[in-house]
Amino acid sequence: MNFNDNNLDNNLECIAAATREEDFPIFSREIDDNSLIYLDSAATSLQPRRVVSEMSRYYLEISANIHRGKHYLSEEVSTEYEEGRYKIAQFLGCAGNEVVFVKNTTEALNIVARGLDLGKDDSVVVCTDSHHSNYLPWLGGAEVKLVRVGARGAVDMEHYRELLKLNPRVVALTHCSNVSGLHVPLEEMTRSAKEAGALVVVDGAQSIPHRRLNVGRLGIDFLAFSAHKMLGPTGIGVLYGKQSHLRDMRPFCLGGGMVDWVDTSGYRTRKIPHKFEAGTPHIAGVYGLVAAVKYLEKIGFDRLEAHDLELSKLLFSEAEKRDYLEVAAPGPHADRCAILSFKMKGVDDMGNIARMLSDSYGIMCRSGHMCAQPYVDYSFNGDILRASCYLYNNRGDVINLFEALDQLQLMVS
Amino acid sequence: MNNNVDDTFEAAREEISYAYENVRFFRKHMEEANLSPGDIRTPGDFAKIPSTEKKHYRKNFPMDVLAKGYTLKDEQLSRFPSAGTTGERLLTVELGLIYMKRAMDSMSVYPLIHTVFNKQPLNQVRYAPPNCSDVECANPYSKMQDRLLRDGTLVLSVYHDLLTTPEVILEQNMEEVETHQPRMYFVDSTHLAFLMRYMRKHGYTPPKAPFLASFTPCTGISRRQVLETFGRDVHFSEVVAMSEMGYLAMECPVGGLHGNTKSYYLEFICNGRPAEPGEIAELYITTLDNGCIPHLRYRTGDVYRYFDSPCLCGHEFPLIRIEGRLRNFLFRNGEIVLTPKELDEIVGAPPWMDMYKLKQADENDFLFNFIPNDKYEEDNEKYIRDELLLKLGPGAHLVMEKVDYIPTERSGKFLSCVSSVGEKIYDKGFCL
Repeated sequence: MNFNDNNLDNNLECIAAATREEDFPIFSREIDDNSLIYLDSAATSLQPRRVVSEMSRYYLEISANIHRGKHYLSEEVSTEYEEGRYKIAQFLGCAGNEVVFVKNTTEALNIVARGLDLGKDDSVVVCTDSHHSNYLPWLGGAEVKLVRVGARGAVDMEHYRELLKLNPRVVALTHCSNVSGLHVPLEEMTRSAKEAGALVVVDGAQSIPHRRLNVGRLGIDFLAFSAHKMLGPTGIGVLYGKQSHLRDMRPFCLGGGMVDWVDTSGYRTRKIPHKFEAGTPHIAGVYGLVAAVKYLEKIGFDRLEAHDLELSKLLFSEAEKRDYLEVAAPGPHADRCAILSFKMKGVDDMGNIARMLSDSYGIMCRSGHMCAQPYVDYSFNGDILRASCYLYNNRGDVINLFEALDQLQLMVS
Repeated sequence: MNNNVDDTFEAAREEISYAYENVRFFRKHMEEANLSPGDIRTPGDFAKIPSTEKKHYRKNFPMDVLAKGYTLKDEQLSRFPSAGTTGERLLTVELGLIYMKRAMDSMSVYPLIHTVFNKQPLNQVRYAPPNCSDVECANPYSKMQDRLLRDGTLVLSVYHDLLTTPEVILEQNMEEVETHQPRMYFVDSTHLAFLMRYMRKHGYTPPKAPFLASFTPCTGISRRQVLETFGRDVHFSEVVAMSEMGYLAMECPVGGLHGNTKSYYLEFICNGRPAEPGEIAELYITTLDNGCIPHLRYRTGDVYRYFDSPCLCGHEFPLIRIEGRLRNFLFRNGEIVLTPKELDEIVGAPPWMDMYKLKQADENDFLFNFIPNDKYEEDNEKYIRDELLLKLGPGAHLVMEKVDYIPTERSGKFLSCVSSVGEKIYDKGFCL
C-alpha cells in the first residue's frame, strides 16, 4: 500500500491510482466495456484486498468459535476477537468493555432504544433528516419530537433548543445526513443536550468512515456505526456505550454466550459488553472491521477528511452549474461530506436514471428514498438519486458523472 | 555461567540421565541428536543437546513428558496452566514441593521476605491478571470466600482488561484487603499501581507488608506509585517467574536481580554461543530436581544480560537484568533497536504519568500511548519523544498520544512494549 504523503493533488486522489488498482481489484471490472465508477459508498463501500484476506484467514486458517471451548483454535480466535475490540476502543477513545459488536447501525440503535426502557412519559428528540434506523426504533415507546431542518438542509438550532426545554430523556442525533451529507454541529448539540439532562445517542454511520470521533472527549453516551460503510464487511457494526449505561441496560436478545449462570429459576448475565452479544457473532466480520480501521489509519484521517471535503466541494460546484438539477441542501455549506442527492427537473423516475448511468456509463449511484423517506418526501416529493464518494474516488469520477447526466438530460427532459 | 558452576553442572548432568531414562520425549530428543547422557561431560558437550521449546512440552503432554511413575491423578502434583502471554498456552504439572523449593531458593536473596513467607498465617493477597476466561470471571457477584485459596491466599477480583475494572469491584477490593490484613502481597506491579491510585483517591492506605511483584516486568512508574503509597522503606521485590517453572529470579534488598542457580542450570545464549557478561542473550533453563516434568535446555524466549560482578547484598546468585520477551522487542531492518527494559529506562518514573505503552505497528510506525495524571504539563513527554526518535533511527514515524485508556493483552497482562514486527520475526524462528 503506497499512499501519497503530500497534500491532495489536483486530481483529488486520496490513494495513488496504482494503489487503488492493487488494493481494490474490483476496479479492473468493466461494465459493457465501461470502467467502473463507484459512487455509492454511502450505501456500502468497496472492500480492499486486505480486509477480504483477513476474513479469509479466519475462515481458512482458524474457523473456530469464540469463548466456547478450551481448544487451541478457540483460544486463538477468542484472543484475536477481543484484541479487535480493544483496537476499536482505541480508535474511538473509549474502554474495551464499552464496545459492543452488533450486526449494523440499525441493530445498535435498537439495542439502545429498547434497553433504556423508555415509557410513554419519556420524549426523544430526533432529527427530521434521520435515517429510518435512527427514527423507527424510537417510535412505539416514547414520544418522538422531530427537529426541523431548514430549506438548505441544516438543522434548525432554534427549534432544537426549544425542544430541549421539554426535558427529553434522549436526543438521537444523526452526525451526518445520508441524504444531504451535512454534518450537525455535534459538540454544540451534545453540550446543549447534556445541559438539558438528556442522553445523547449518535448515528455515526456516515461520518465515522471519514472523520475520527473521540467519544470520550465529545461526552456522548452512545455511538453506532457499521463496518460496511468504511471498507469493512457487511453484517458487523459497533455500538459504543458508556459503561454505566451499558451496565444498567437490559439486553433484548437472550441466549448462549451472554449468561454466566442459568438454572430453572433464572439466569445471570455476563458482564458488559458480552451480555449484549448473544449467540455466535460475525467473527470474520470483526477481523474485517479491524483490518479496515487499520487501513484507514494508515492513510490517516486528516487526509481522508480533506479528500472528502474537496470532493464535496466539487460535487456541489458542478451541480450548481446545472439548472436542470434540484439539489438537497444546496449552497456552500462548509461542513458536509461528499454526498450529493438530487433530482432532475421533470423526471419522475430517478431509478431509471440510475439504471442508465450504470448500464451505459458504468457509474453506480443510489436511487430511491435513501431510507429517509419523511425527509426526502418533504424535500423532493418523490425518489431521488444520490452520488457518494470515498477514498478511492477522484475528480475524474465526479466529472464523468456530470458529463453523463448532461447527456441523459437531453434525452429525458 | 554460574557461581557454583561445578555443583550445578553435575546436577544438570544428573537431570539429563534422569530425563533420558524416565521421559520418552527426552530419550527420543537425545537419540535424534545421536546423543546419550554419557556424551555430556563438559558444558561444551551440554550445548550439543538441541534446545527444547514450549511446543515440545505442549505437544507431548502428558504421555511423553511426564516421568515414569507419574500420572495426572497423582495427588502430590499441582497444575500450572499458562494462558500464554504470547498466545502460546501450556499446561504443566509438577510436584508442589518442587515449586516450593524453587521459590524458597529464590527467596534466599531477600532474607526478610524469606522469613515472613515462612511464618503462618501469611494471609497473602494476590492481585494480578486472572487466570480464567475473560468473559466468565471477575464478575461483581463473587464473594471473598469464593476466592480464598486453601493456603489462605485471597485472590482479589479484577477484570482482564485492567482499566475497565468497575468501581464496584475496586470498592470490594479495598474492603477485602482491610478485612484480610495481609502480611504479604503477591502482585502484578501494573495492577497494584492501578489499585493504589484508586485507594489513594479514596484516602485509604492498605496494611503495609512486603510485596512480591511478578507476572510482568515491573516498570519504573508502577514502582514509583507503590513506593509513593507505602514509603520507600517498604519491602518490594521483583520476582521473575514462569508458570511452567515457578520462581526463576528475585530482587534483593539492594535492588539487584539474582538468577536462581541453585534450582536451575542457567545458560545465556547469544548467536548460538554462551554470552559474555553484559551481552544481550536468551535464557535457556535446565531443571535440576528429577521431578515430574524435567525441562532440558528450555528456550524461555526471555532475554537477559548477566553480570559477573558481585552484588552489594553479598548473595552468591549471579546478577541478571531482564530485557523482556524477544517477541516484544522493537526491530528495524531485522535488527533490534530497543528492548522493553531499555524503553522503560528512557521513560523513567515521571511523576506526571500513570501508564504507558509503546506499540510498533510495522517497520516504521510506532505509537506511544500514555495516561497522564494531574501533574502533567504540556509537552512533558518531549524528552521521551526525542530519545525514542534517536534510538529508533531515521525514517521512524513516532506518534505520541495522551489517552485515558490503554487495553491490556487478552491474557490479562499489561505489556508496556509490544511489536508486531518482533512477533513476526520471533515466529519465523529468530534466535539470538
